[in-house]
Amino acid sequence: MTIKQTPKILSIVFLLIFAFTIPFWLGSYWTQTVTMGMTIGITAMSFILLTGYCGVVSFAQMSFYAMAAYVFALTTKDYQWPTYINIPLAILGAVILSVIFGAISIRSHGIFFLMMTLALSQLFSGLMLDWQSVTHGYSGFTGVARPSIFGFSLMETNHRYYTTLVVLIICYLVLLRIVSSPFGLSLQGIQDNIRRMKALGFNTDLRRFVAILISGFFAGIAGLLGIFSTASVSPATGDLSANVMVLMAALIGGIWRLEGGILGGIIVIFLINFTKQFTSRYWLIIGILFILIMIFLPNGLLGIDVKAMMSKRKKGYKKI
Amino acid sequence: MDKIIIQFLNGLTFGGLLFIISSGFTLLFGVMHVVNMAHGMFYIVGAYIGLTVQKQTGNWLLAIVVASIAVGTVAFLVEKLVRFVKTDLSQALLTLGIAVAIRDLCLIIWGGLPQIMKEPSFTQFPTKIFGFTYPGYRLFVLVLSLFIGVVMWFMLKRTQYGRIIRAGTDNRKMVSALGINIDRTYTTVFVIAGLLTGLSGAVGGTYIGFGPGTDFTILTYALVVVIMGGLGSIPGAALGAIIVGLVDSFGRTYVPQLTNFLMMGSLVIVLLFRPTGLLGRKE
Repeated sequence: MTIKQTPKILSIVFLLIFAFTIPFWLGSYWTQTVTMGMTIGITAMSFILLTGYCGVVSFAQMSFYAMAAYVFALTTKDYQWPTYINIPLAILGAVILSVIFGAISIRSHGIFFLMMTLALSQLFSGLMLDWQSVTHGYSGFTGVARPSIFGFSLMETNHRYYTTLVVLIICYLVLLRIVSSPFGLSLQGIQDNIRRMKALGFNTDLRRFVAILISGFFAGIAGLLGIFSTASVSPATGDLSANVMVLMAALIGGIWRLEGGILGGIIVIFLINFTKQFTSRYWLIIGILFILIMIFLPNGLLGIDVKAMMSKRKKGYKKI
Repeated sequence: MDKIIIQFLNGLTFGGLLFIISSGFTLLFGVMHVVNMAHGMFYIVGAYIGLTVQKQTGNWLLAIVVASIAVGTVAFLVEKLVRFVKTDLSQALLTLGIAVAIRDLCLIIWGGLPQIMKEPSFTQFPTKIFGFTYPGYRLFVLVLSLFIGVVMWFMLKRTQYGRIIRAGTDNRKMVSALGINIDRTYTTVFVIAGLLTGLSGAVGGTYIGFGPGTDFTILTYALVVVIMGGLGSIPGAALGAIIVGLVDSFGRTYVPQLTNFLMMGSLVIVLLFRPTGLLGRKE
């Protein structure tokens, strides 16, 4: 360990201590809020894997999330299958949905990909609304029993908090490994210059497809955590407003780094739960904030280059 | 057999409505490469304003005109905001932010109950087709959609202004170097799209009920129609609208639970054979 690294390691240790002690000094309502924020944070990270590294804006992340939640709710509540089958099945469901969405939308790029995923996710949400014999329509599933894993009951808020925190850290580390691997670097290459990557012999479509699949997997994990947290799922879980929430989380935090997703997720859910206490019209406030961020802070909070601001020098961040 | 003919007519007239709805969307995309995520919001604002005017004055035509102009004004303002960001992706996201804010504002102003506008008196004639009666308003919508389609096609392909707009799509800098104020042209296109969508809101608000959430449904319909028909192509939008209308009409009758699944399926089949949509240009 060199001296240069010490502050970084110290700050990580402080951050971890801070994260692990939150339930002791924050009430259960706000602990629940942070839990939900971390769940959205994982979804936002899966979104950033596609947007920041692969260069496509996906509006389907909350569909994968909702799919996992729906599969878990269906198998737990209606079929009464054991938990150790339901959890892998739920994630498998999200991955299968991402395979379908990926296969349909892979040939489109840029703005076309956005429109395609948006249309697909809206149709998926509509299917969940209409297919009442399986999904219970508008109200969806409520009161889905929270499982206990190895005797660790997820009924308690604090237990859910720690589970989510640990899963978040694992997801973050795995995703970090993925984006710094040769595969992740090739994704960035595809974002920067797809023609050159094709000329170099990369199968760009396959790589983008695998990226969508990975993002579906992580969004599925988030969906599972989400249904542990809220115990309910409905068509609204995967609709456009929910996707706006994820998008906003990624944009607030900063779209070029995975940490941005976590930070943004927690901030957005905090913001929603905070404004909810005063008014039920919180989407108005969020929408206005969203517009302001798009205009004035396109690179998010983590994209603010403090050094460049101090020296009045523009650093070359790309704009989406 | 009668049922099938009725469903076919329903699908066709609904397709006509869908064409009116998605014409503004495809115009904006084809000309400016702006994906207007606020499209559904434009629609629902048009419907609510039309409803309010109709309740106050009882005049359907006046309601249509006021709704159209009001949404045109909204579109003018939205265009000024969209100017702030440059790339097409951030423009799309910005319009989404506007849509999310204003849909909540609509909920505050007009409440959360589903509404519907009254049909005008001049379309309340029972029309006999193949021996059974069919509501006149739906046929009126079909005729209106044909009219709008022809006028738009004529505007874009046969007039000087249309030529400027199409040239601006291909090379914006060159057009402005030729001494044409392309910024003003774009503002005009945005306002025209707003006028059209406002009109579609009031016309559609008389055809099908609307309430909170309708805006995202309409946006989905417009997206599916436009993707299926080919982005930016007006004949494509017409073709896509008819297909979506028919799939929707037959789906809702025979497999009501799986209509959206059918829609997704037909989208997949179209894209499998024509990746850029039925009449789309190459990306």
